[in-house]
Amino acid sequence: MDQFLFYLKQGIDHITDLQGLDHMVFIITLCAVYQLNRWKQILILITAFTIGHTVTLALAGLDIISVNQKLVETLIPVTILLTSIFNLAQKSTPDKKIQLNYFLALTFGLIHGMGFSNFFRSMMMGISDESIVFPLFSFNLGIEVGQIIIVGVFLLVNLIMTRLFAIKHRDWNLVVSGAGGGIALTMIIKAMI
Amino acid sequence: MKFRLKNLLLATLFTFICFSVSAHPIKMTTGKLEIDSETMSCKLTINFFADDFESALQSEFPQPSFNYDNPQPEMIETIKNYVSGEFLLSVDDVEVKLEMLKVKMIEENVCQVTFSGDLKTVRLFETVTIKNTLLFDAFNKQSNILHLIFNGDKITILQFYPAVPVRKERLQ
Repeated sequence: MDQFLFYLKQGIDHITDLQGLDHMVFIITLCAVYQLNRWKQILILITAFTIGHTVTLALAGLDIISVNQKLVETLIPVTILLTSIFNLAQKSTPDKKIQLNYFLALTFGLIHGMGFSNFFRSMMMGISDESIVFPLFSFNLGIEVGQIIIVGVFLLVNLIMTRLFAIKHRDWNLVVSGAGGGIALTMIIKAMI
Repeated sequence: MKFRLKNLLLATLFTFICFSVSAHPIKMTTGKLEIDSETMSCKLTINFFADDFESALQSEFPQPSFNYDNPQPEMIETIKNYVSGEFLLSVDDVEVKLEMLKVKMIEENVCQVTFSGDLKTVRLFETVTIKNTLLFDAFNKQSNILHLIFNGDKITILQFYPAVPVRKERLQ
């Protein structure tokens, strides 16, 4: 139980870490285009992202695939930038393009999973005499809990901004997606220098 | 007025988000402390990212690049002194003197340092106190993970970071 809680907490801390915003910014940018009343679509979107990152986290965590850390660090902000551009290019909340959104969430989830695996493998470096499956499961569960917290807080802020401050959802999407894109560009430049 | 307030709010939010940007640095050590009351001894194994480890030690104690295949006395002395100063161990409030056994590369960019300690003066093996500040001075985001094992059973996994550099745990 102690070990389960340790890795669960590591998962939550990793994704909600305010000093390392990449995964959090991606999730926020991914959800920016949706209003609260579209919670079912948000749920499907986040589930698609979860499936994506779980697959690569498990494969890389179990050493079935190898991951180029530098490449993944560059690709993660690229996923944020592309999501941001995709959001900004849409004139209204997507209906026809929703399937494409799910596909992007799934595909980009694969890349973020490799990022999670870098952190997970770091936690396990040199600890070779114990099974990796249980820590991997606990860590991934922690990532999911953290993800739910991020989406919950973001939707609450979204609600406050659009209802209390009467900000139009389109303006909200522009700011959040624009900020997401700005952050991603900064990260890409930093990764390339 | 409402329009201006709204724009101000959005502009502030945008600026705040953009300036709070940071990637996800991984600054970490992992380790294992095995305490054995039968043999009255302990073994400490610590794994470092070799690039972080070397850059931190080289900036503090300038010397030729570390050669893990053939460690020179200066390199061994530097590592021994550094780890002994940043990792302090007491069992039942008896301070344990750690002796360095070896340093080696175990995988790409991961080096492992092993120490042993004599616990012959310890009687009850009730508590262990650990101060682990390895690389805290070098990196803001540094955290250190340590698996604590007593007589072959894992007791707990401890995490040390600048806000929590010392942990005290019961062994039994």
